[in-house]
Amino acid sequence: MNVVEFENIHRAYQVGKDVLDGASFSISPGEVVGLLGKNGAGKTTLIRIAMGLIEAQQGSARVFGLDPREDAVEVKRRVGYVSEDQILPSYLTVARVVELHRQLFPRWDDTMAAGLLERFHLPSHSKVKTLSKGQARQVALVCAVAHRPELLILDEPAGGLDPAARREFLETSIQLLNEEGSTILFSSHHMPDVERVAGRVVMLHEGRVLVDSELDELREGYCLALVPHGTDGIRDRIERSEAFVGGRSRPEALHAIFRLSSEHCQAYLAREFGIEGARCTKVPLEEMFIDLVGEGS
Amino acid sequence: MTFALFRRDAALRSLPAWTVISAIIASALEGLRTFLAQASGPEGLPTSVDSLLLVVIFWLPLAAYLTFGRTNQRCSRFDLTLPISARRMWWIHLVTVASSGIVLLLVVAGVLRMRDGLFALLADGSLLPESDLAALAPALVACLLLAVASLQATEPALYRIPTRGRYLLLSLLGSLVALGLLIALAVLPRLFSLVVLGLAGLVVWRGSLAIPAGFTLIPHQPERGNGEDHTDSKPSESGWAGPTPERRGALARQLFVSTTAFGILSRGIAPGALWEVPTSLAQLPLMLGWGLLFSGVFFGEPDIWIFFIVITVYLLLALLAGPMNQIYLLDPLPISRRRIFGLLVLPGFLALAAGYGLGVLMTPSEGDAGPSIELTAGISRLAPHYRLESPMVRVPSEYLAVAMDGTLPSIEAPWGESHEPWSISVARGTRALLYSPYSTPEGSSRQFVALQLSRAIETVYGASLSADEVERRLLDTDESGGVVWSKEAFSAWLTDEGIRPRRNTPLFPFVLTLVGVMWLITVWAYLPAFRSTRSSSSRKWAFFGLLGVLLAVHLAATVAAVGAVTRPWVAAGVSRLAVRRLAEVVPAGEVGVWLGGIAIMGIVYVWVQHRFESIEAAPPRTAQEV
Repeated sequence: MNVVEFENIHRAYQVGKDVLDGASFSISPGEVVGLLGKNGAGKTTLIRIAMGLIEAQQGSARVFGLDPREDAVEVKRRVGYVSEDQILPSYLTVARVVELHRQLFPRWDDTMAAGLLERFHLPSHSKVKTLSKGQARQVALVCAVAHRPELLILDEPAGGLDPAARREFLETSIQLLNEEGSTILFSSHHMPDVERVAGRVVMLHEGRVLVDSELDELREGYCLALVPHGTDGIRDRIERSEAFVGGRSRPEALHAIFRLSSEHCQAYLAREFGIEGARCTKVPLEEMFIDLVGEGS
Repeated sequence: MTFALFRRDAALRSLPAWTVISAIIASALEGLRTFLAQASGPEGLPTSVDSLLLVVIFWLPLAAYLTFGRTNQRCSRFDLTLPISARRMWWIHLVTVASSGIVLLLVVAGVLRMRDGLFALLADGSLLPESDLAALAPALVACLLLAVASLQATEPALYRIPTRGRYLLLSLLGSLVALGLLIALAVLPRLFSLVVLGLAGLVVWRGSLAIPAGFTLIPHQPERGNGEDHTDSKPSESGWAGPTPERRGALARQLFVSTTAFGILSRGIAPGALWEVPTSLAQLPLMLGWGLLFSGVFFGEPDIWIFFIVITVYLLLALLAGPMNQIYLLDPLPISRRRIFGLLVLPGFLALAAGYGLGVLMTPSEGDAGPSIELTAGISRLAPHYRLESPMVRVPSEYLAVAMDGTLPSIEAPWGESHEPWSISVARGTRALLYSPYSTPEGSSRQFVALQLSRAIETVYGASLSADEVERRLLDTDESGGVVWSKEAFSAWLTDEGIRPRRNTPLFPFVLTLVGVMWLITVWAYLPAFRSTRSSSSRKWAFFGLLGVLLAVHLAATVAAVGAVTRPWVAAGVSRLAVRRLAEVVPAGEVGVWLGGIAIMGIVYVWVQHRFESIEAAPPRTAQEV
């Protein structure tokens, strides 16, 4: 059974402006999935739907086979959640926040919580409002992982943190839960983080899943072809082709991404479009992101 | 866990502030009730009107709390992520709001009892009819529960009921309906309160059935038009934004809110919450109006307004708090701190001064009402609120004198007749006495009265009329053998001599300097809260602390006036006396006093501005609890 299942999810905040427009994908137990997309692509909305904080207007979302709205308490009990915006009560001390979670989660692990608090050097008796952004995020992480969740959802977990804090944060969360085979879904703008941590990447664009692939497959199975300008109508023909994923026009050439290995791509371009000697290379994730969903794509 | 949720409920956390607000509202309305009772003569208010007023006094703070007291926030976003059922949170919130409402009712009852007690103590007996608050309690509680149940039954799926048009309209209508119901219940047998309680129970039961397993952040249906953007694109936390249509709309709303009386109150409660720097201009008409009131032009008794100096500073501070918290928006722009300080501090104060000045110009000169010297018993317009048993020479209070050590000089005539002057304590508990060097106590001879009148004419009008002339031209003897003077003859003499009506020594420079200096010192005291080491909550505490101190001083002054510790006309008289004496000794007279006042304010202004230049106006931290 899949841990998370999104099927044809639609959600709009304003009439006629769909944020999610038929997004579908699922996550199997033990997977670490990186959710990518531009601002406004629908990442946070999708995550909030999984948490039952928002309801889909069409389609179905299931977490552990349960409806996150109907079985909200059961789902939340099994999920650890950290969001980018700080939502811990600012007036509570760290100790009180941890205590609150301990009361709510039956599988709470005191030893793990104490160990993490010590590791992060978090002052137990300080109020949340006196903590730095990184420290507050660490408190949220402690609360999210110390009940050993079956699913950890991180919404831009490292946004706004310095590189050292970001690495510490991600390594701790992923390392801790991966050891136990927990499933992790995290959204991020930071490609190196995704490449280091995720096993699979789901890229959202205009409310739909544009790319859903294992990271290894993405590295090997996709390529970037630099197609010279000049041939009339070539762009339209390429865009209509089955292997074309996305791309954008640059001054020197058309950057086109194909769902093909770089070896097969050259032959494909020559065979289908008569383009000889086009440069085909493996695509770094960041380049792929920019070419697929970046400005002007 | 239930207790933890209860303690973290937004409605409960806002309760301390609402306790203060409710007390202020109830106190103000009770003042109105007392005023109406006093104005309606010896019979007092009809019982039905008084009961109606009482119901309104109880209901208004409660309605304000239910509408604006964060009662729409069923749980926090933090709670949403926890495995707690929505139904449990809903029940806890319902009980919290209802309990908080009952606490506010008790606060209002306490305020009414305290005020009645205070008046009874100070004014030898209550002005108001005895009211049976306990009899009103069942109806109040029943209506409170019905209102809470009805409001909490709206938008059952949301963690926070949106406080936009529909909710506000609903709250307003609900409050009005509940008020009507309450008025009806106040006259109906108590059994009807039970019916309303039953109705409230039914609404609660129906409401609880509609609560889903978990709350959501936003409504299921998309909005039409410009809704809040809930996507993951994060707006910048700070920075200067141009006047987009949304901002213009918000600005218009804020201008409206800021120019209403509620605006002042909300400035006091939530500094910066609804306010932006440009809207500080909205305080201008407000302070102009207050300045007019403050001058006393509308009430014929300008002296009483001297007791409103502190509350004027309170108002200025309440209006400043919002813009102060928005300085970080202006700081990145190429505008000097000095200019920002001027923009923050001067408009409100100058509007107040303009309003006050306008009021002074509109006030008829004292001389227009008749001569500024009288020989009369009872109450004189020259010394209001003080009744004399026998006739005495009276002059405006600014021509009296002060004996600081309480030792009164004897008034002597060349022929040996001497009398102790009439006097009144400047403030109860001090030795200082305000006395009249022109007084003619009972037993004064006709010649002595003439001498005192001659002296008074010389001082007040600067004109010479000998005692013999006064006796011959102005004095007469009544049927009982008492000395009387002819006001008409005195007026005719003034006209013959071409003496113009006397002008009041203005309180204006004194009051304005006092308000300005107190105001600037208050700002000076508030500025240390703007340090990067200080949290936003300590800034808030500093603000509330200052407001509290000002309010306490104002209340103390009011109690002093009510309890006759000092009389308004005595306080105003001493102030006028000081201004007049000062005008006599400084070069350029009254103009010199004005310039002196402006110079003092200027020095204090520069001193406070210097501190302002070193404040650290960091943007507020991102809201951690939404």
